[in-house]
Amino acid sequence: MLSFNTYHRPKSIEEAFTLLSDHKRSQLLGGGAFLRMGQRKLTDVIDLSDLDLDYIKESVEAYTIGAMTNFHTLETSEVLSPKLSAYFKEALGQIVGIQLRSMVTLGGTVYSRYGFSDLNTALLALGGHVKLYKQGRVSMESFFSSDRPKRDVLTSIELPKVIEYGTFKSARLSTADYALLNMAVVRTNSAMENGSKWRISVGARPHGAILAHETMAFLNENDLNHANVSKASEILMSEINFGTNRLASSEYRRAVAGGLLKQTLLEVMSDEN
Amino acid sequence: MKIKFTLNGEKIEADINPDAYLIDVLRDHDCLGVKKGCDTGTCGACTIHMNGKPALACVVLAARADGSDVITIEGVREDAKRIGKYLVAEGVEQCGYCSPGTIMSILYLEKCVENPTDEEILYYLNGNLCRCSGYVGQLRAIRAYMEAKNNEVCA
Repeated sequence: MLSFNTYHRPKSIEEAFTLLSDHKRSQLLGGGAFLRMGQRKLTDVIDLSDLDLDYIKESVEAYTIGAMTNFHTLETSEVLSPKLSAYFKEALGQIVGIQLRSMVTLGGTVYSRYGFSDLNTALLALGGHVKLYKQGRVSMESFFSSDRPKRDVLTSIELPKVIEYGTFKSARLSTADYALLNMAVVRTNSAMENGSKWRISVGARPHGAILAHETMAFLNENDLNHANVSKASEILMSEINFGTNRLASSEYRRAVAGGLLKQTLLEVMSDEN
Repeated sequence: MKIKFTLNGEKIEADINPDAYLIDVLRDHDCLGVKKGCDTGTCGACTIHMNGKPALACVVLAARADGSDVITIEGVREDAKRIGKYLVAEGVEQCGYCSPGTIMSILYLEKCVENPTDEEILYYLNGNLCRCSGYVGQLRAIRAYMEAKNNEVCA
């Protein structure tokens, strides 16, 4: 259970940041669902509810999504393209239930870089940027792969409008449980930073989501056929580091990851025919 | 600290600890239909509606409820009776512990989807666990309730 002495609901991001800087044992409050599971004792909790950070905006090239946007909004938003909202629905649908998904926030999950997160795996495959109040715009990949981030207020994320095809797969011991492995596969409709057309992220390894660069490069240079699907799956199994926890061993995760990628690519091939 | 919110249509003022969870405040205000099942945000027994959206009272800090509109099962008595009949008819009202939360989810489903498919029903009810009955009976009850409601509208 979370315990603390003072609850704040700041009216500006500057005020939230100042509170966070001034109180060493303080914590920003997004949805608070995972935070309540621990045994943390804090002095101050800073609720970001009143900062107007619950929004999804569209520009020509990107969507900007406010940090306090909840998961259920991502699944049902009419601002996002149908492909993108279907992708989110697939990625988030196994997270407990609508009640929880109406509460947990994008900012809380992205900033905390939870290893088990389904959302973070899905976001990393899309690419884009995280916007932090003090540190500014940071690419999603470097944010997820950096060491513990400096204390800051995540205000929004920016997602490029690149999704041509996207799917999310995961393996769980039971419905709506934490994933023992998850994977997002996206094919972009325009060249992104590295010119790549396929983007594959693997999460719940049990560590946080990372991109499978070698597998992506192989798929971008080769045609999609049965032999190459098997080869891509082998590359993925050798390039990604997997770990062991109470849900699964590293060997099991490796085998599942190879299988999920194979399944996904075979589905793409059958859709194309 | 003091908070003010609307509980089942009535304006409430409560003096709470800053780290109190809404579920305890609601139960202190005689809303005993809000059940504390898992107390980890998993089972759905404490489902309420907060500003029109389903929420888990064991996950929301009471402080965050300041200024909001909260509806519990006690605020939807007639609906609960109506839906309860269908749950009973299918024999899925056994220990009854999950029913208040389940009914709150059924009401939200009803608000969002007019003629839900089985897939949609399961999507909306996924967050409500039931240890007694299994879910097939609940699905039958919800389907029967929705059909009867639509027939009423047509008649």
